[in-house]
Amino acid sequence: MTSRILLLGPPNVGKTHYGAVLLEKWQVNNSALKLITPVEDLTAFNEARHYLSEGKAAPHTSGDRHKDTHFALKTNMDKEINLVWPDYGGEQLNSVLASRRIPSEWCSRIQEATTWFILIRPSLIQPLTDILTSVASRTNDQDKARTENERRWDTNAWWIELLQILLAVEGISYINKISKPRLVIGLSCWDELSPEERQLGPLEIFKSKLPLFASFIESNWNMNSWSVWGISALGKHLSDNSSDENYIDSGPAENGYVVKPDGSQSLLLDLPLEWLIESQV
Amino acid sequence: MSLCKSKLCFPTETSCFEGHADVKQCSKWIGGTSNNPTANELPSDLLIGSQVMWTGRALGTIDLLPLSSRGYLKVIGLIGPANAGKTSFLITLYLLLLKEGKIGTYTFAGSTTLSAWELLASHLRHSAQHPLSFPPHTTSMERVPSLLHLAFRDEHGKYQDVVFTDTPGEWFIKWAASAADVAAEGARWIIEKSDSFILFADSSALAGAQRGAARQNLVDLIRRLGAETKNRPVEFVWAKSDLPVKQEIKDQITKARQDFLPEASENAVSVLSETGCHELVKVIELLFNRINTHKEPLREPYHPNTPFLAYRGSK
Repeated sequence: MTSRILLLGPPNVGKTHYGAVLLEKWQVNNSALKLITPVEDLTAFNEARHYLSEGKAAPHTSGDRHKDTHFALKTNMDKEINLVWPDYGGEQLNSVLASRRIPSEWCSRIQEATTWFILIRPSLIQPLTDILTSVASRTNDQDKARTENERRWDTNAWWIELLQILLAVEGISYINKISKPRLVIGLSCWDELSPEERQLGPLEIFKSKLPLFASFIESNWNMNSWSVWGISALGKHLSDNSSDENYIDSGPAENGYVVKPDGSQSLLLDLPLEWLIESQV
Repeated sequence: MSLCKSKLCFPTETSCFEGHADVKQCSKWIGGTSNNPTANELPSDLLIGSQVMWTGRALGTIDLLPLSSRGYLKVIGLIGPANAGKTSFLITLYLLLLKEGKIGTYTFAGSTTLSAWELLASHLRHSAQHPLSFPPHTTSMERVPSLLHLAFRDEHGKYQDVVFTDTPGEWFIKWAASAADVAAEGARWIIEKSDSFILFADSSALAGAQRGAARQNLVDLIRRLGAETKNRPVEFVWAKSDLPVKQEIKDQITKARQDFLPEASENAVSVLSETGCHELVKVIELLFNRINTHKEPLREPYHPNTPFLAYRGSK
C-alpha cells in the first residue's frame, strides 16, 4: 500500500532536516517504522546528510526543487507501506498563494496525498503589531516590530488560505467535519522555544501562536483526525558553520526528538508519521 | 474583454462557474477550444484544475452564489453615516478574531475574503513605512455593496456562513432622505437582503461642530430603518464611545431609537479601549444568537380554488 504525504511548510521551517534525520534513523532502526529495503534514490537528502555529518545545518532548499523519495517501510504490526516523501523549496507555497494558481505537479501531489503534514516553526512567528496590541500592552520592541510589518499577511491568514485552496483543489467540503485527510501539525525546531513555552505542550503552543488557524483546524477537522506534535529534528541548534563536535561524534541518528500530543518526549522521530498512517493500515 | 458568455463566470480570476476543470471545454467559453486556441487565450501558466472559486477579495453580489449554494447565508448589514466607524468596526472584529479565534461560542471556520480582510487590517497595523491610520473613506464610486465573508461553527457543530456589508455612509443618508433615490440602490439591496443590522452612531460627529446636522441625519436613519426592519434584529452601536456626546443629544437619539427600534440594545464600542473592544465582540455574539433564534412564523398558503391542493387522499 502506498501512502503519499502532502508535506506543507514555508521556507526555513526545517523540512529537509526532518527528512534527512528520519532517513538516518530508519537506516539504523532507531525508529518506530522499519525500512524493509534500502532506499533506492538518496539524492534529495545527500546534501543535507553531508552537512549534518559535519555538524552543520544544511543550506536552504532551492525554490524550484521538486523531488520525491520513496521509502519501503513496515509498521510494528508488520503492515507494509510505501511512503512517498516530497522535497521542495518552501517558496513554492508562497507562489501558490500569490498567484492563486496550483501548478500541475502540485495538483497531482494534492490529489494523490492520503495524509497531510504541516510543519510550522513557532519561533519564526512574529505577530503583526496593531491597534489592539497597543491597547493591550506596550512593549519596548515596537520599533523592531515596525520594520517587520511590511505589508505582509498575518501567519494565521496565510495558513488558512493555503489550506482552503488545497481543500478546494482536492474537492473536500468541510460543511461537515473532515476525517480525511488525517492531519499532523508539527511544530519544528522545538528546542528553540523557551523552557516555559515547552512546558505548555504542543497543542497549547499552537493555539497561543496561531489562534485563528488553530480554530480553523478545530472547527473543520474531527477531533481524532488531527494532532499537534513538537519536533526537534536536530535536538539542538546547528548553524551553517557550527561544526558541532558532539553532534559529529554521535551522528544525526542519535539526536533529535519529538514531543507527543500528551507532552511526553520520544527519540522516535517518526512517531507523527506512524500516527498519520496507522489509520490506513 | 470577457472570455465567457456567462455573466457569472470570471475565468481569468476564478475557476469555471459551470465546474469544468478545463475552461475551454465549457460551452460558454468564448476564447476558443483546446484544439483551436484563439488570441483570447488564458495566460500560459494557467493549468487545468488549478484555480479556485474565490479571489480572496471582497465579494460582490454575484460572488454570493457559490456561498449560498452550501447553505443559508446570513447577511449582517452595517448601517450608518459616512465615517461613523463601520469599517473600523469590521477591522477590529477581524483583529480580535486573529487573537482569539472565536466570537463567544462561535469558532472561526474559514473565509473566502481573507485578502480583503488583510488589506483592511493593514490600516490598523504598525510599521515604519505605514504608521497606524484609520481606514480611508469607503468610496461611493461603485453602486454594488462590498461584502466580507466569515464562516463559523457554533457549539452544536453547525456551520454558518456570514457576510458583513462594508459600504459608503452616503448611501444610507440618501436612502434615509428618500427611500426610492436612484443613488440609494445599494442601500436598498442591503436593507432588503440583510438578516440583521448594526446601526452606528458616530460619537465624533455628534460631539462636533456639526452635531445638529449629525443628530438629524441619524434620527432620519433610525426612523427609516425602523420602518423597514420587519422584526429583523438590530443592534445600536455608539461608535468611538471614548468621545463624549452631550447628554441632550444622546437623549434625543435614544428616544428615537426607543420609538422606532424598540428591540435594539445600545452598545458603546471603541477600538481605543479594551472594554470597548470587548463590547464589539458582545455585539456580534448577540446578533449571531438573535439571528439563529429569529424565525419567521410559518404560514400555510391558502388556495381555495385549487381542488388538487385540497386533495387529501382517498380511504
